[in-house]
Amino acid sequence: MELSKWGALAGAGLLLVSYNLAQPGINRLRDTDAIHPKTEAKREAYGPSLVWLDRLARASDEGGTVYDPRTNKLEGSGKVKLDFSVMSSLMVAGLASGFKSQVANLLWMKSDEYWHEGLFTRQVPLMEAVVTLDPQFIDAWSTAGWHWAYNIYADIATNPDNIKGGPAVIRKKQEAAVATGLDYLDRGSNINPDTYRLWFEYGWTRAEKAGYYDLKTVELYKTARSKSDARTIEVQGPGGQMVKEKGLDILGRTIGHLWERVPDFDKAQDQYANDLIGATPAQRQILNVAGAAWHRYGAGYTDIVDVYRGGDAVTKADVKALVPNIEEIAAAQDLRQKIAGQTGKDQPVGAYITIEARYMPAWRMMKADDLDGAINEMIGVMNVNEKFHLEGLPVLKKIYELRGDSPATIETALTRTRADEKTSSQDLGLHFLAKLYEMKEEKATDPTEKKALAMQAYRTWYRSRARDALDFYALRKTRVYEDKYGFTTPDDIVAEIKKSRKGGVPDAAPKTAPNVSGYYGA
Amino acid sequence: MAVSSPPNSSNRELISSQLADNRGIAIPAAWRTGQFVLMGLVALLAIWYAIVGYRSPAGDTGAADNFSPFDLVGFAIAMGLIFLTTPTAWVVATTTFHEAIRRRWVTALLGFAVVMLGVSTFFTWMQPGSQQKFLRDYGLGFTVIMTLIAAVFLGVALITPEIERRTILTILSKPVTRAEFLIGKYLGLMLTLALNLAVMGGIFMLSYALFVVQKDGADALTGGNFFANLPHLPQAYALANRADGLGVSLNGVGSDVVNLGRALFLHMGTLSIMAAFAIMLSQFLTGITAIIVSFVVYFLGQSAAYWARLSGGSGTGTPVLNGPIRTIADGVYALLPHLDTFDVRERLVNDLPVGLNYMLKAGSAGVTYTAVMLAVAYFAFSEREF
Repeated sequence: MELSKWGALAGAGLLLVSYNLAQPGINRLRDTDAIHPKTEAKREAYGPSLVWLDRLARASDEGGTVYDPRTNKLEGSGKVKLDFSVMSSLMVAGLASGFKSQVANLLWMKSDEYWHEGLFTRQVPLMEAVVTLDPQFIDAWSTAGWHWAYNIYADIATNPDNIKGGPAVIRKKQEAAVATGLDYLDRGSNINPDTYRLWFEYGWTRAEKAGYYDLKTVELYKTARSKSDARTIEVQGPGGQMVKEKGLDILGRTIGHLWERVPDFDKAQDQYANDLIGATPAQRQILNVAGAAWHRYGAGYTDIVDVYRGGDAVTKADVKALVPNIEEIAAAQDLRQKIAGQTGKDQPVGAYITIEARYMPAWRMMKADDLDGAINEMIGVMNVNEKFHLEGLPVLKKIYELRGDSPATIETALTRTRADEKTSSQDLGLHFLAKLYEMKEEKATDPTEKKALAMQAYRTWYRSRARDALDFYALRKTRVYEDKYGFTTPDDIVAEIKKSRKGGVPDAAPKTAPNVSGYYGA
Repeated sequence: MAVSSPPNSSNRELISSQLADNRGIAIPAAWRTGQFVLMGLVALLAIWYAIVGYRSPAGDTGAADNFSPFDLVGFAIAMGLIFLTTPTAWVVATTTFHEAIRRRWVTALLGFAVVMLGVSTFFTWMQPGSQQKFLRDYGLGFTVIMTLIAAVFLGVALITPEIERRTILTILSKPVTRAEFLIGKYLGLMLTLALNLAVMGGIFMLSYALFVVQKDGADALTGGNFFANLPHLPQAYALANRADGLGVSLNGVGSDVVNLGRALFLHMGTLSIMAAFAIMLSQFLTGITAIIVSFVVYFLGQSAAYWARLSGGSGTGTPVLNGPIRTIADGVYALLPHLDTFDVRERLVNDLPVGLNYMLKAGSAGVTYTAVMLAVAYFAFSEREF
């Protein structure tokens, strides 16, 4: 054979070597390891995500717990394992052929079919296969997270084997199911970092299902809020079809709500006033006047302004005699309406004012280290004890009389004001009260007193948990105390709240501040 | 195959005079000039790439930008291929192209693809809320598989039938070198594939653009059906072309179409490698075996990133495999065509632009691997006795 032909072969070999030497550079462009060297789940720059391969290869190395609904056992890691049972022939074909999305679509339809047949657990391996094949399938990540954290979570409690195992088994498996759901949302959001949806759902599930109102959840909401599609909403177009438009800053409000429920009312007010409303310090002072008026007269303070503004000189003088700072209140109400009326903004000015009205007096006491005062104040607010809250109702009654309302109408209005305040203040009020007991517990040095205060915190969290079955923050908090101190379900509280439900709205507030020493030895 | 006369009939004397040493015909000056112009353009592109072009576009993943002298190998090979494309090779190429597009199955394949891509928007119900993602996946996936089938089946059937029908004897008895014949066949196949890709890609991009204009423009503007919206098409297009982060197209329809076009162009890398691979295999294997092996290699090549990760060649750098199995994985990775390099669908569904730097880097690798396959094919073909 001619030398030139051997030359062609040698050339081919050299070119093959060159080809391989060029690959590291291409790989560096395709993945994002240069940017995220230690981040496990991430969106690759050009290439497909290979995290699944690492997980598959290292499946046996991972520790932790995951609930497998097929075997009804806890096993594996704190993260979802990818095992070979998930690797169906269809999935392998999809991975190898480069038609992963198409195969994922087929599996997704099958999963949907199982859903409609009520075969929850059969969906589990399919969902893992779908997100592995098509990591950009946002709906699949979202549904998998929701499915584990909500559907499988609920299903565990109805499984006869689990019921036989008792509450401890159910709790353990449910916590593992929520952790698995969160793991899906964690992986999905990291691999699809440019869209708000999975960051938001990760934060939301973490807060509202796992009960973590903490900085990490806030960071997740903030990340979601920073995305370009965070405010995209669907509205009806001119032809009746749905079109996407820019909507309100719901995530900004969600962050504020989270701070309220922690609670950290300073941060909640800052979120509303500074971040969302963009109020100046002077404007905040004026809005605080509205809050103080609400604290004194309830939501009816706006009626006082209306009567004052609409009345003749005599009426004005009468109102001013009853409410000396009526001009300030009227100015505050004007500012409130001006801010609330901003086109397309739906500003949370009401939320700011009600926080100021209901919780800030006790919050300021807490900051001044008057924890007992804050506890009494908060219990007073939740019970609408006029020594602490709505102490201006007799004045409001006179204002209504000035307006010419009948005694029956006045009584109805005042009763509704009291009822509204009672109902609305207990959601956050119980969290705040529990926090106050926790602060006292932290400060206490005597172990017996410490435990008694812990019991108070526990019982208060339990009130919140019994009042609202979806208060997973309270649920988690009570479990922390149960684990730490061995506290058991306070049946008296459960019975009391159950009884109050017969009147329509549950009344979960403790009637008076307890004598903590009475709980010594609890 | 019947090879028509070279374009310049004044070369006939040269043909007869050069038959004896089998060196082919002399190259006309005008042709050579054209070649040098083309080579110059490639050289300029290489220089631009080496100085600035290797950097990612602003706002992209700049940390991963890199330049390697091995990136330039592809440019050099492209220049070499242009130089080797003699008038005779070009005649073989155009004849191969005409033959290929006259094949009924090729026309049927193209027709089927055009219909399926044309109606692709009707399948978007399969992913409600992610219609645009579905369309991109579906359109690109369908184009990829259809052109791949064409590349493999045509590539395997380019040279063997010439040998079986003995027409190769007639061709090689003329002043056509074996290298010219091989390069001509490869170029003819690539012209056919480029035409297929252009037609399918064009239909797909048109369907996509109409879908986005309807959803992001016409629906928001007037609602109603497509035909009712036709008079408002310019306004609808203007609305759909806004990069407002809303609707089915976040960056605007124009940006999307450009990006899709780049992704389709990159797919030419896969087609080039697979065409060369099929031609090479046809020198050693029977038709059906070559087809099967080609598809196996395609599947393995699509999984190249997995092989790299298993052998520790990418990612965290920690090899998943160890011992002899890792050596095998390393070997497979070193020999495989890394076809997934040309697949940027995940980039598209994230609404991220396909950078020119990436296209040139990947393209250079594709040209290099193609050259490897053609060199091996030439090695076998030049030794073959008919």
